[in-house]
Amino acid sequence: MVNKILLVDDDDATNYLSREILVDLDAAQEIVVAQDGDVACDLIQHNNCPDIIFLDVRMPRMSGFDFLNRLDKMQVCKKLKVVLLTSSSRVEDREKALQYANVLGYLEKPLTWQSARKVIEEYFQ
Amino acid sequence: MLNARLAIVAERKAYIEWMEKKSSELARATAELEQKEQLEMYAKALERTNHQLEEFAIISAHDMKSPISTITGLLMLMEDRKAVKESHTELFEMLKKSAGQTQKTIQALNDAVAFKKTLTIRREDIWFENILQEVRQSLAEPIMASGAVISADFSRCAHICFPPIHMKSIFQNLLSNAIKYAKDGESPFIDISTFVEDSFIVLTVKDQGLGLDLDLYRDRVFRLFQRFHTHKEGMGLGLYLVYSIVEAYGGKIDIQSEVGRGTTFTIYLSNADGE
Repeated sequence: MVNKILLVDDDDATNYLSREILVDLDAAQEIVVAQDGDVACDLIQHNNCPDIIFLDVRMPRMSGFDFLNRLDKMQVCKKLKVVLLTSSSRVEDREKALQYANVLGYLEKPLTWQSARKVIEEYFQ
Repeated sequence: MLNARLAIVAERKAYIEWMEKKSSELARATAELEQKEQLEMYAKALERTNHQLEEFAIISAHDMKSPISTITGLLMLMEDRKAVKESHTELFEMLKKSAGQTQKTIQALNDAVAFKKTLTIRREDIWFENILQEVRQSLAEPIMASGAVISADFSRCAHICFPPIHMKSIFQNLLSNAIKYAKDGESPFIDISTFVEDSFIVLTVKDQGLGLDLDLYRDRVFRLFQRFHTHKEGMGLGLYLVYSIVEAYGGKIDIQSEVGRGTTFTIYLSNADGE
């Protein structure tokens, strides 16, 4: 179990689904939701840094990649890892994502118990 | 004096006739040029429209993926939570099935759109036998399950200069279809051969499967999402991909089929840098 997971997705339903699955897995003591990158950045700067962020790639105001670039410039704790969630199966997006040092995984939506469990295990390795 | 004047008049008359002739030629050339410019303008407008339609297809296919994957996930959660009353089980199953079908269709649409972008891969010298072996491996399970027999004769033309990934896709889709649409209770028998005809390398793939009624379907056979045997699973993507590949590389494809007797695909491939 990690201390805190932050879910960042502009879609309520996706956040709901991801949260239910992570609660089932006892993945974190606290699960927080943000519906865009700006809110997520605020949460990270003014509260305890999350351990894992589940991040949507396609968001209207700030894409997942824009958020990663902003995260790079912020003073964030080293333990923070990001898991990208996407509907896109484009190889070039996956390759781009894995170039970021703090990206732990690149998963296709919807998040499942199996894919969430695997990524949490990888976090602890 | 009179003769000199007559000569001058004749000369001027000839000059005027020459000028009139040149003027007509100029008018014709101008009209042709205007027509050519107009055609070029239409061609550019058509290219822009095609590009916009392609973009629309890409964006639509992509934008639809996210909500349908969320629906599928939420249905999965409902099932896990046993949130469906027993009396509504059948309704829920139909909902799951529709969502699954929609997801497959959107995925197929995404695949078709993504595929179009791969049509500029370089040609290489490839051997048909090698391609067939690769495809046999990737179709190992359905081949074994169906007891399919695949016979190949590449003695008349063993190789071609063609993008390997696309040749593999042609073989994969045609063999996969031949196996899938075999007659019930019968093992598929597929016959593949190649030969040279004029400037083309011809590939034929023949099966003895269900066949289809070309009187009804000839116009639709190679279109996207067309299915002719709905009791078998499939998205109607395979023949569209084969047709797209063949056409993109300057070839053509012909189909002969008879219901209950089988189908023969004859593919004419240009061999750009080869023999």
